[in-house]
Amino acid sequence: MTGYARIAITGIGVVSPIGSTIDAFLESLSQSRCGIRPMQAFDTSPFRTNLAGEIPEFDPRDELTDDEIAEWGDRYLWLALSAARMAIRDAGYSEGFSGARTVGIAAGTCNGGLQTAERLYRMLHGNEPGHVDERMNILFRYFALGRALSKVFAIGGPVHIVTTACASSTGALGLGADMIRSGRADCVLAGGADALCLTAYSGFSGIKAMATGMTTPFSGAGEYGLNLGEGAAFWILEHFDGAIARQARIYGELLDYGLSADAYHVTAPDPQGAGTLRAMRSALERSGITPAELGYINPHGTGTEANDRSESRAIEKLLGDSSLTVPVSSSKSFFGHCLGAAGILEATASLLSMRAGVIPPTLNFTDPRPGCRLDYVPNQARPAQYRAFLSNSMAFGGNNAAVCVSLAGESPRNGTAASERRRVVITGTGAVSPFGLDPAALLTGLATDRSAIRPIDRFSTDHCASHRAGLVPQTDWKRADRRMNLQDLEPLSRYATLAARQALDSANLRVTPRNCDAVGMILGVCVGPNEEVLMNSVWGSPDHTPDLGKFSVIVANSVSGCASKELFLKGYNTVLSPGHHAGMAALIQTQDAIELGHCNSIVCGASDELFARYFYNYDTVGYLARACDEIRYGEVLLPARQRVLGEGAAALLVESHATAIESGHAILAEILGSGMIHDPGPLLEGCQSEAGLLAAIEIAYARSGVDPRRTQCILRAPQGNADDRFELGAIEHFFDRFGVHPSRRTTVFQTGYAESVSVLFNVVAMLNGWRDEAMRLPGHVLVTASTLMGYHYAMIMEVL
Amino acid sequence: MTYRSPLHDLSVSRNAVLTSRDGFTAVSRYRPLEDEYRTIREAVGMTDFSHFQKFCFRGEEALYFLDEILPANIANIRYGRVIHTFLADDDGNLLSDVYVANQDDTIWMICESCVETAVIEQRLAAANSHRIPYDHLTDSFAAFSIDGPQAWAVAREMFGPDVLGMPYLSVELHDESGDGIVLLRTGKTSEFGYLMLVPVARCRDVYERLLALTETRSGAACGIDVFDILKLDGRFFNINQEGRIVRDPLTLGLQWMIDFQKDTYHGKSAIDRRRESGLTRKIIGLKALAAGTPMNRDTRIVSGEETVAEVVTVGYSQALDTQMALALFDIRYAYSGLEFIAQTETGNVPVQTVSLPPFIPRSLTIKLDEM
Amino acid sequence: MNASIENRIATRSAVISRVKRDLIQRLSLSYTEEDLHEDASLIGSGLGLDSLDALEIILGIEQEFRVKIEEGNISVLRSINTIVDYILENQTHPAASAQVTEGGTR
Repeated sequence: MTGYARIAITGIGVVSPIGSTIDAFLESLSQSRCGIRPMQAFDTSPFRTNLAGEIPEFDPRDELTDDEIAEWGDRYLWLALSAARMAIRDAGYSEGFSGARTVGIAAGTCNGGLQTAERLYRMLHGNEPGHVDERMNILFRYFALGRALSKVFAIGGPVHIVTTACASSTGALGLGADMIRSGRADCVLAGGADALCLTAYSGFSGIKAMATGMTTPFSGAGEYGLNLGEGAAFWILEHFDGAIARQARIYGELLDYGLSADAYHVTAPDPQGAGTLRAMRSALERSGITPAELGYINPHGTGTEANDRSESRAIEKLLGDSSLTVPVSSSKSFFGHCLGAAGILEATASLLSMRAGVIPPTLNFTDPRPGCRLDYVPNQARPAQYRAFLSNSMAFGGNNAAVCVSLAGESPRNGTAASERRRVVITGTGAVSPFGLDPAALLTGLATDRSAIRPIDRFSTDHCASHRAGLVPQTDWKRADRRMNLQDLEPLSRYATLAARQALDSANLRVTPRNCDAVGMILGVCVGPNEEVLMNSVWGSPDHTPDLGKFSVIVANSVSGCASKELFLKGYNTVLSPGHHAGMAALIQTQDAIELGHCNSIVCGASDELFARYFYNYDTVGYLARACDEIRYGEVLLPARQRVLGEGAAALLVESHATAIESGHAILAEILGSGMIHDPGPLLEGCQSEAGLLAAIEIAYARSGVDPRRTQCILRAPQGNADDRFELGAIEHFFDRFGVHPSRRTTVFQTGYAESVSVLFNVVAMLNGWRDEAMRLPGHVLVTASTLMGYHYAMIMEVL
Repeated sequence: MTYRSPLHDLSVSRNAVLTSRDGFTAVSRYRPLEDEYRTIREAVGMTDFSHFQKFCFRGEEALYFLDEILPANIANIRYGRVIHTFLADDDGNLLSDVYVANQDDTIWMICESCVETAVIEQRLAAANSHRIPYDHLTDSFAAFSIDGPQAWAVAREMFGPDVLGMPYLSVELHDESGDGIVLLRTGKTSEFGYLMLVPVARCRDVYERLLALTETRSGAACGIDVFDILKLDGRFFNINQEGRIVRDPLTLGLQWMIDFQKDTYHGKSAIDRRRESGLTRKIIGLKALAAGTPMNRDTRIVSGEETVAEVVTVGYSQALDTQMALALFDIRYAYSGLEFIAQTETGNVPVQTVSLPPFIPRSLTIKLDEM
Repeated sequence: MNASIENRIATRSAVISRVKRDLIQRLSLSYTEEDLHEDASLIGSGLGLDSLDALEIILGIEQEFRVKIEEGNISVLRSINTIVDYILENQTHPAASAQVTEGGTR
């Protein structure tokens, strides 16, 4: 047992509508200077208001070189990189990190590369010349954020990209803290970024969540709604003792955080605020802070009708008797709702204010709304000395996140021992694969050496060079499992929900009102729900009229939102989008969350949907196997970048050993250790190297304490192309050292390469009895995955 | 034997006018129906519905059992939610208007029937080949409802502020003071409505507390007959009026209570057959355009020489200040906004088919989350 | 059937059919047009739609029928019949809307 790892905040960088230096930002907050103004970047006349928290004066050249600007050509990346550079400089790490494996990234975004996607759809609708190229195809994927940060600042450690919409960057702070507490990193760049995008603007306007004028959080009568904003902020988190040792300036301590799911509705928060209350309570309890010790709460406070009352109600319940004495103010009244950057900007506003001895106000405050009964600090900052605050976020899909921060040296858990690390086991599995709708179908397909790759009939491939993929067989979804509304879900969510249900069922875990708070969900989603209908509605109509049904489920975390609602999972909940093998990032965070005691049972999964535009883009940039090669996938080595795509979902029920024993769940495997690192590299060149995966494998073995010679087999998720040589090389060179060569298996060549989920198909198949002589199971298994974009994963399991 | 509410004596002592049918006796009214109507449309009325048949099941198995009997998708009922559906006989004719409530794995089935309790009881018993244990609670639980634009205020006083967060068709158990009250947010009046199941041992005390709170909100006790008018002009299905007469859920427009993708439920094959052959008649609302002899059941509605409909149920709506009716229309004429002639006993009355519900109930203008 | 009633039925049933089709398609309802009684409640009871569904319906009606439904109008979305009544009362004359389309294409 070690001491409870304390986490120092040693650097802050901010780009915001109310200032892009720490001093300017703080000054605006204390002088009530609002940053919401008429929007300049695009015409807002079809929408409810022209007011937004835009940063027209933002010039990426202030912080970035011309090469950096050219390479990472999306506004949200410029915002992110600028804020991150300021934070890194502020922490005294100006020289960068030289690829250190002990420095990590935890970044959140909601829109991600939506501006790039908008360019693509403008092209498709003939409003802009050109067509998709390789660069665009990377830039509009969430993983570009991790890639940009890692490359520009030479960060070579673990990377999490959190995509829980408006709760993303609060979640990122939490996952950054976990990275340090789990021993994966000594120092983490944590934060988030989002740029204003017309698509999101039209959507918020369409669902009438947008104010018709200036937002008035918690006050005003009748004229409710939010203003959108943009911005970025990053913090440097590091071991407290390390920060003291290097005499760093310490802004404060990140105490701990809480996550939860509403399991209520795709867009509306639970009106009783029960979900957000669970996240806030969990953050406080884990931090060792009582409500009375809180000096300030920065709420989500969007200003919408649905948010402000239910959140106020939750805060009232959280505070109990002290509810009227703890001030609560919405920073969104200063800079609007900055979506994925909202959480970190608001935590930054709180932290700087706490250090300056003020409480920032809620602007535009008149009379409190009916049902809003807290002290909202109207219009004027208030001097106050306090030592801890809570910053709260809520999101579409029902994801909630709250984080607790104190002044340096004020951690109530100072000197307390960490609780013993929990053992982590897998007790349930589920899979919806091209072979069929359950793990048994997957297993049967694999055992017969058939291939599930077939000609695509879902959309036309007439103009494509490729025509095949591993597609999930479609069925009457209303009848597939009548306990759930699968037919109403997007395919991506439908697959994930069904697989998750199977994982719970196979372990005999019934989720009821009595245990629903204790069961969480972590999903890995590479691409997010199919954006075509939404983007075509926005970019194909002169008034940019969005398809509202699609807008409400376009965020990546709508997958966990829908699944947790169908399955009644109200515990710890997050979504990670680090690109390929997102399922592996989810599994590693699942392991950490259980080890650190965030939750005892977590459904971990991943999901991919193959839709037309996604296929066409890959086809256009030449990332798909040509027709002549498709039918021999796995037999011929394809040219670099190429593969045959697959889709589907897989899920694992992962629990603490004690919980599994207590509940009588049969243990299928134990997770003994894992490694996750990133190879910094330029946008276009693949930056896989042997060294990257090798490092991840070494870390996994070191953390598990398992002798590599005892490895019985290796599960891989290759692409079947020339890029695999790095991954194969790493595996071979690692095991050469020990003189053993365990057999290697993969599902990819029979199911197609499912970007997020293939890695978990391997695990689910194995845990369902996918065996042969050479695999020598039961025993120790190495699960590896390695991506062109430089994300590398390795995990050691003992299969029982 | 006639069923009597455990509050029967209390009601009688309050000068209730009684009514008996289908093997039960209940309060018809305390005051003139117009007064009780106004109480519920303008304030809050409290009504004893203890004669509803009440059953209680436990566990997941029970859901699958009920799913084989009832036409809605009972298998995916959420925790804390209520499903509104019906129970039919093997010919697909209505027996009960049913609420199924999933309160933390305790499944409550509440039936308002147009047949005697024994019929429902036998039906459940006969279907129960897997011997799912359940309790028949009609005798051991009372049922009250509070309905009206002020019902939320009474519920809040009684159960605390969180009750305002209950969505329509949801259920909670309130056991804080040992009352063991099952609270459903339901209602078939288009006003706020809460239905409570209360163990008989405590029902008198709970009833009196609730009634006192109701009276502080200008409310009063009401009988069950006023609901015939409330349902008529709020266009809620009424098993005791049109349901009792027409019996076919499709003609009555209750398709929304049916999951047509289901493989089995009682009456499915008959209902599917009728659905395939298409509707020939349909229930449509009418209002009288002039005073005159009121319409009755079986009053013919004509267009020129042609009879286009027959009246099924009638009532005087204070909200519309005219006589209203539901009539069974020839499908070719089953549209609102048309003028016809009702041939009443003593003469012709002009009538118009109307889109229902035809008025805005006060409750719709109140936002509970602002309270 | 008398001609005036026949005309009114034809007009109304055409609008009913379009509204139902739009609803079924937009909200992926698993009902046929005939299954939807025009008086069945849409929100809360009956079809049990939520507020987001309501916004979708409003958007669909506004686009399909070129009418504007004011925010906060709570009487329109009560049933298919109330929607149809609103459309019939507020719809721009069909000829006028055709001209708008033509003008828009120039």
